[in-house]
Amino acid sequence: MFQAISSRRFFVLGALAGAMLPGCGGEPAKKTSGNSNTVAAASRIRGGGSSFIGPMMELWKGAYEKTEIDYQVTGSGDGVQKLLAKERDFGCTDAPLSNDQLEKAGGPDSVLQIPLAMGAVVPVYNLPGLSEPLNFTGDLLAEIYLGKITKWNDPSIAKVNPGAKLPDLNITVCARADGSGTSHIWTSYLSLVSPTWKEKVGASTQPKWPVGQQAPKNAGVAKLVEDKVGALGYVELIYALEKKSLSNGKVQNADKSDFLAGSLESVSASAANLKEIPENLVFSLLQQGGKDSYPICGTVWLVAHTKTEVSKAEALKGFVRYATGEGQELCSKKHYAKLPKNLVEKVVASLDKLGK
Amino acid sequence: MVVQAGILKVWGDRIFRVACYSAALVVPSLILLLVVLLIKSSLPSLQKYGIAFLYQSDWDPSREKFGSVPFIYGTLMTSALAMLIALPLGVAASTFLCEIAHRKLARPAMFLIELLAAIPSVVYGFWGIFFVVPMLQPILKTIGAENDTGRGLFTAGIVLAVMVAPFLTSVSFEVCKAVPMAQRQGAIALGATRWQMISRVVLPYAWPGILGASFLSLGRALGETMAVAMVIGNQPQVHFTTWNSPVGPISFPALDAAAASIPSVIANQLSGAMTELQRSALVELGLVLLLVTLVVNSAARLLIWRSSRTPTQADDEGEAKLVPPDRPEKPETRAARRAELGQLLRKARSKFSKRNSAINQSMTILLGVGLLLLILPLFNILGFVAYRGFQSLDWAFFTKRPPLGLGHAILGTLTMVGLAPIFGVPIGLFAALFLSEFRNSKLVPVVRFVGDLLGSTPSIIIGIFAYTLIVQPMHTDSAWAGAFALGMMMIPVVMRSSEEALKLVPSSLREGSYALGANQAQTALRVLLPAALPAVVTGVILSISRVAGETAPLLFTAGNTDFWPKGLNEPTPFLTYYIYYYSSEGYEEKEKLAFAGALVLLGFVMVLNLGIRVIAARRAGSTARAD
Repeated sequence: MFQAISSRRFFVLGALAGAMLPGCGGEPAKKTSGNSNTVAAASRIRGGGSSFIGPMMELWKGAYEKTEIDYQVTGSGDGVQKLLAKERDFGCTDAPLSNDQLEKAGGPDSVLQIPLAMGAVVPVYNLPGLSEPLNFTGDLLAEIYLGKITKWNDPSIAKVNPGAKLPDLNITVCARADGSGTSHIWTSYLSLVSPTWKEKVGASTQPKWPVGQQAPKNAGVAKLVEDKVGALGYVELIYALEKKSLSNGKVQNADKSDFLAGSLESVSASAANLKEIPENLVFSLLQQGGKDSYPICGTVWLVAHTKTEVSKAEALKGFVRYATGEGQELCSKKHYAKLPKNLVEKVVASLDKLGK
Repeated sequence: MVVQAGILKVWGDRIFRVACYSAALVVPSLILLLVVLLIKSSLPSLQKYGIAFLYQSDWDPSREKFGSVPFIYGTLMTSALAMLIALPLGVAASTFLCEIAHRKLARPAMFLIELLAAIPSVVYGFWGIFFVVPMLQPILKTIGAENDTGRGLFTAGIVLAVMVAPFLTSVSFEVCKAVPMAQRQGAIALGATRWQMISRVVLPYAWPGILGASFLSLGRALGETMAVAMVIGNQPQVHFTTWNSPVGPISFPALDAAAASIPSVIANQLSGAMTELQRSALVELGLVLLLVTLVVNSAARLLIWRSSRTPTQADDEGEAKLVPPDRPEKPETRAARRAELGQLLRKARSKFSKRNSAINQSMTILLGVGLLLLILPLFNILGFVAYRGFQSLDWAFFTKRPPLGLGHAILGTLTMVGLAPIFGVPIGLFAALFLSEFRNSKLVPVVRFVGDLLGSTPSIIIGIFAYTLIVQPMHTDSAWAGAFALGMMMIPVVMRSSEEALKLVPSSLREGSYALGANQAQTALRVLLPAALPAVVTGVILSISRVAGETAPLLFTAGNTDFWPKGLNEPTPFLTYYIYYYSSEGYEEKEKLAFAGALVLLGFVMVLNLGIRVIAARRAGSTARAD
């Protein structure tokens, strides 16, 4: 009864509010004064895409007050597509734009790709009763994702996990159903370490998964793994840490000297390797050398058209300055690595191109 | 003055005519535009792959390989499974309620089942994720299934079956009720048991109608997006398993395997398509789906039309005369006749052979079990959503935006559901007026056919259409685009129900109006429409309650935002979006919002339906099935 009353009452409220909408909302305020330097920043900018950076965006949009950041977690593929179709003011992706996409945008100079944060993609699994996190080599992960290793007690898993009581369970392989930058990072890594993977599947935001189950977005994969004992998936680090039933696997580093868990420190170690940054700010953090570098690290880029409406460009610049400056202090809360200083300088310099 | 009034009258009539004709023309033009736009969007893929698209089984966006086989397989298999489960249950439940149950049980039970037919599909998916999947896992593990995750073809089949069963039952019930009482009396008089009467007389007589209803349900199952995407596993594959039988290995489709359906892959991949080619291939999948549903629905309409034309297979005139005339019986006479029938049966009972009595009794139990099996999951859904929903419902849910509440999405949903009738109702209503007032026009069969076609178009395809038509040129998702998609879905429902309502207005009223010198416009708008208004309004409200629970058409059109919507040209949040995504992320606070959202949506839809049914109990039943 309660629900009946409240929804009915709300219907009236909502209908009233709905009727008022066109009056109070409508066109955004167009106060374009003659002098372009004093253009007021737009009050809300719209973006979306990468779920890799979703938790970070949540924090940023709560803390940043100058502009409302309407960020929709929809997957990197969607983020890029909606940006190219000019349906949003910015997109976020953990896979840099492909040549096709750059061309569609009007050439490499017509878009900016701005790194916002760095994080780890980690293998997560649901195996209650194991005391230590499992070790994985790149090869092992590739074999599992190819469907060649199907049981948790497979000798090749046991070999790198001496002493672990591996159950006689099927491995349910979980992956992303939508266009995903996280998938891009994951499959790029598998392509680097396994020639078979490179040949049979390759690196892509939407690869053809040989086996398993799929769900949209990072959280969707986490839920798939959470729902099934014996499942294995890959997610951005924070999604693994936030769920108690998920374990965060260790991955062998590039020089094969150790097994490392994805963490703030091991990602920062990878990022520290970034000495020379290319002009377009696009780089890869996979398989960085050094004993403490986690091998599957990724970057999220904010993508925007250089020709953005001035008020929106101002708002965007403000937000990017915040996110790559003061906002970086929040990164450790969600276990993302801070951007290296030399990178931030380049980012700030690149902002001049925006809104031209 | 008189002259002026005359001019007004003439012009009024002309305007009415134009309005009717244009509304009637809008419906076929919309469909035409939809098909043209869909073909245009899928041209790259059509040109590159041609007919091979239909038989290639590889779907690999990164290597630009696009074949539709796994998705056609997934769509057909889940729908077939759903029908295999839903048809026996639906027939059992409807015959039990119609032939065996006491009126005091049958009426509220049917009322309830019709109410359940209005549950939004996303709620069924919700139930699938939180109830069916965890329940199936241990069972699948025990029987040693290859895929024991609980997500796959079979699960999707179950969820779809439970989703279409209420609709199937309520139509079958009507069809069984329409079997003339004389047929039953004849069977009983010849010494048949009740089960023999049901199996030899009632069911054969009602069969074409039931079959038609199953095809309509099949059409719904084929086009369902959200409920399937949530539980099917989304792996595009055709997976066979081998059973080493004593006579040798036999291969058959693995029902436990994860798969993907056409609507689910469109929902997952369209907005993030990597290339133009992938986008066009996905739209082409939509075309294939449209074609399949068109075939299925045409078959259904044909069956229903044939069964309604020939009341029985009895061509011989003698028997046909025993059938009472078409005039519907008054409920009292019907009840009296049924009571009479019951007495006859009781008298005859002593004469049945032991074997026949036993069969009769076990079949009665079986049919009753069918009804229980059908109703239990539905109670399960309602109870589950209500229980978890109430726990998470608070005032902030209505007044705050995420992460505290979903007030903004309630507002967004109400805005779009409020705007949709502006587009959907006038067109539906005037098209209905056209159908009833310009009966001799050659356009009538076209409009009726196209209306049915529009009614059976999967909602996700309407979403693609509205996206191409409005979102792409406007460069933004908007409440308008969402409302347009919803309005388009309202047209066929409003059209059908209004036409039925107008048909029921006695023709003496029409004749009287013309005899008094009124013209067509005056007759239609001042005499017929007021007389039909209660039923028309019922149809409109039912169509509103139906679109309020839609998800798929809004995914590509309304966009979404976690902020309060700023205006109608801006992305607009909607409740079903949050129910869908928040339930598949596994965060407690988000799941709470999803449950509360599902409860509020369910409450809204139920209140609309309940209200209507209480106000116009009898009419609603027939209009609810108009689509």
